[in-house]
Amino acid sequence: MEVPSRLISPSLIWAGVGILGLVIWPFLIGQYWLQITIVSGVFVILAVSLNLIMGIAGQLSIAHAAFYGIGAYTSALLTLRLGLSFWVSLPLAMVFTAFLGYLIAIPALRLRGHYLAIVTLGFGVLIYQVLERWESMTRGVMALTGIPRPTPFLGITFRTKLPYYYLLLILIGIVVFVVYRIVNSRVGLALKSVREDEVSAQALGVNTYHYKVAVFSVGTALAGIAGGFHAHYQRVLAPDEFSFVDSVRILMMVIVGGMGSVSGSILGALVLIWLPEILRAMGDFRDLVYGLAVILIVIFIPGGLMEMFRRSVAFLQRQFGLSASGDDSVVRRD
Amino acid sequence: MWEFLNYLMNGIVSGSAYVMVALGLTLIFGILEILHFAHGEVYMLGAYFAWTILRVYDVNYLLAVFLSMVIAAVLGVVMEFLCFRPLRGKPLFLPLISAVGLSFFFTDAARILWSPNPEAISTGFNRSIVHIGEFYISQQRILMFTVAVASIVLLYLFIQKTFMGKAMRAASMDLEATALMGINIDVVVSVTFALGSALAAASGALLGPIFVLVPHMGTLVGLKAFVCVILGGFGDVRGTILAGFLIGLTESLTVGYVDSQLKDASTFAVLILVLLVRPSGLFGTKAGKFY
Amino acid sequence: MDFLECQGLTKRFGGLHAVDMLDFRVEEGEILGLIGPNGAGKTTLFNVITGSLVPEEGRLTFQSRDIVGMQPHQIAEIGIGRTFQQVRLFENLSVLENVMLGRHCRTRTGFLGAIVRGAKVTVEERQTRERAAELLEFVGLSGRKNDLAKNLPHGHQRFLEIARAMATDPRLLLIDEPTSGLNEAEGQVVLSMLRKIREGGVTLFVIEHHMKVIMNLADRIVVLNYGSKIFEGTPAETQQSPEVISAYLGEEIE
Repeated sequence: MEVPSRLISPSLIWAGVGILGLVIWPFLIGQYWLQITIVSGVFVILAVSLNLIMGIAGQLSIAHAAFYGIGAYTSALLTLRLGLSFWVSLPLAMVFTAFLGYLIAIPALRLRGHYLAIVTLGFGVLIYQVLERWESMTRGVMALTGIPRPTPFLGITFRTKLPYYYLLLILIGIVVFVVYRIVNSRVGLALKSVREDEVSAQALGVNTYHYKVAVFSVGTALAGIAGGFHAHYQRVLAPDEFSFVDSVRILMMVIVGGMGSVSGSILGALVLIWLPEILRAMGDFRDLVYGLAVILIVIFIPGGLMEMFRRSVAFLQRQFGLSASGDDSVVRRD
Repeated sequence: MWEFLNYLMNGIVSGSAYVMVALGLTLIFGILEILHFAHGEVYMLGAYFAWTILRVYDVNYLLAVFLSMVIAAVLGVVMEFLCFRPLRGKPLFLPLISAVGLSFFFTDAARILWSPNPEAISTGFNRSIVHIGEFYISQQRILMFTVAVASIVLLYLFIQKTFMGKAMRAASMDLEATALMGINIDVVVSVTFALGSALAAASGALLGPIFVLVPHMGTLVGLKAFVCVILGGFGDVRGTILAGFLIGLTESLTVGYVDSQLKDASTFAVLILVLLVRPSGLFGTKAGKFY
Repeated sequence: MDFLECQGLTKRFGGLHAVDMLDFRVEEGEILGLIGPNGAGKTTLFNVITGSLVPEEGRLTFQSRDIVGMQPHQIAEIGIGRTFQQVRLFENLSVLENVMLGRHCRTRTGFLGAIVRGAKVTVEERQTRERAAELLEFVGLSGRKNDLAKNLPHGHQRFLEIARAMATDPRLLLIDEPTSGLNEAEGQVVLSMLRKIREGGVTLFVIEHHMKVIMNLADRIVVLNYGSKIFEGTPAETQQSPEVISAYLGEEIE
């Protein structure tokens, strides 16, 4: 079972190649696709964080875009009204979003399943209404404009898309790292036990209520980071980016990728952002095809893209006799 | 006094529209536990169907409403067959996502088939206003209310008296046991979708002339219908009816006496309040179940 | 010191007294059997002891500590473990993970610890794995530790549930129908496990339907009917008690 610690292992090399690829990626594509890349990166953070709440801990939330919006508006308003630097407003936005996540979690998590889903949905719509109607603060549909760029950091100025891209890469790295560590720990197991069977979990000493509230706070905090970044990148905020439909879009990324799988959520976010862009060629029929694609995915690969990927790998291995060489670290599924 | 009566009447009329949409949702939820997010889009399509029939064939408005209901019923059956039936027995978030996919599909289809710009239905009823003292109401609203009450009563009788209605009630209590008793569940589910979709379409065709037609008009109505379903106690028909009128009145009184800007927010505020105090809804007893 | 003691314990559902003015004790180190006809309130009693249900009346103390009103997870922490009548595993987690979760109340790592993953955390995790592996060895499931729990045959699921409950280091273990759904051979395996667990110093409180099984296993037996204790004594006394026989009259004695 012990993995021998070698300085150079295949997985390390692959990780190196992956990082190198991500670093040189902007030089391989034009400005337009860089824009799409950055947008999809923001949604990677959102999907990964929602997966923590929904895929790992099993708490269905249809308000993730609202928390994303709270993070965005908080950070933007802190810089606009209080003149704070982005580097201060971003963590503050994260903390404030987590705080609101905590507040909604306390009453909402007494409820289960559909009820929880609907309360979060109601909360999401309510936040949207506040963003739209509280014009003296958010300027409503007129949009909040003039949000400053991040102040130069270590001599790096944020004048082009490139530094934003690298900043986002670092943020994604941190978020994925944090979620990955949480999932693969005592805490992660406890969260999964909440998803699987709360009664059993409690009988083993898991304080299920504590974990539900905590995972909600952590997940929404990460959504706040995505929001903060988005605000200072886009530099214009309007409520319609944070509506019910956007919450559902994030939800779909998690499900299409495969509930409970961190890599699946990343994949889901990338696919569901890039798909419409590729479908842009279809013009008017974009949402039509998008809707159809989602239905087909749910019907034919309900376990998500990651599950399909695993299955096809297993299938190929069987076809070509490349058995997993008795590796007992792999969880057998039948 | 007159002012209050006007707001009251407006609330009751829009409440009756919500009830019509919510009833389909509540029946569907009761039997399959699906959060059918595309139901609001059926309401939208109902309005567009009626509008198209009126434009193309120049028939009587009421006939157009009826035809729109028939088309929607067929659509409901097909929709269930293609998008929900393959997912029966699977975790419930899957049909939920399928429904969302459908709602994107329908909204975009409406934008392509008709137009993204607002359209108005002219029925002849929406111009003529009846008034008693300073109490005003358009004939269209009276019609809306009358049809709504009639269909609520008819639906109620259908559920209580007919064999199919009884099968629907049985299925909502225990789907498997109902199947074991030799009742064809597929038929029950199809009928439920047909009825629910027809009601939603009628609501759209009747309320459409009061407002305007836009492809995304269904989203908010669908969400509000959900609120009714929840307040009504998830799958409880009587509860849903009461909740629909409650929401209609809350909105109309908020517009009248608080701030018209808060119309939509009021619905969701009521929802959150009620759920925090009584998690099983105002009238409900069933507990939520997701996985 | 009293181990588990309950006095005048009452749990009602509506007008129904599921547990009615119940007095009994569990002595440290014994195997106490709990029997009674269907609906006698046996599982309800377990749910009250483990904090899933709150009794309307009565005292309930564990090691001289009042445990009424404690949450289920706190009950697990003070050393009362349980298994369920219908096996309740974390189906989509591996066999090993199921047992590791049993260590939850004996380990400390929180969110921050998990993220930073310092030396303490890795040591704790290694200990958790080792203890879980030992317990899987004990119930004979070492070979299947990476299977999903739902893919085990029913008998193995019972074994796993026992290993998981043992992972909480219980002082008292409540076992609800350990042999239900098992074949003769599997039943024997479970019974020998339970005896070994008792030899290890854990007190057992066992609900069992099969008379023959409980008579062989238990040191003492408490008999419930309609939520009240109708008899308490050794297996031999119980078998001869006219109250017990009449309570079971009409029920098949297996």
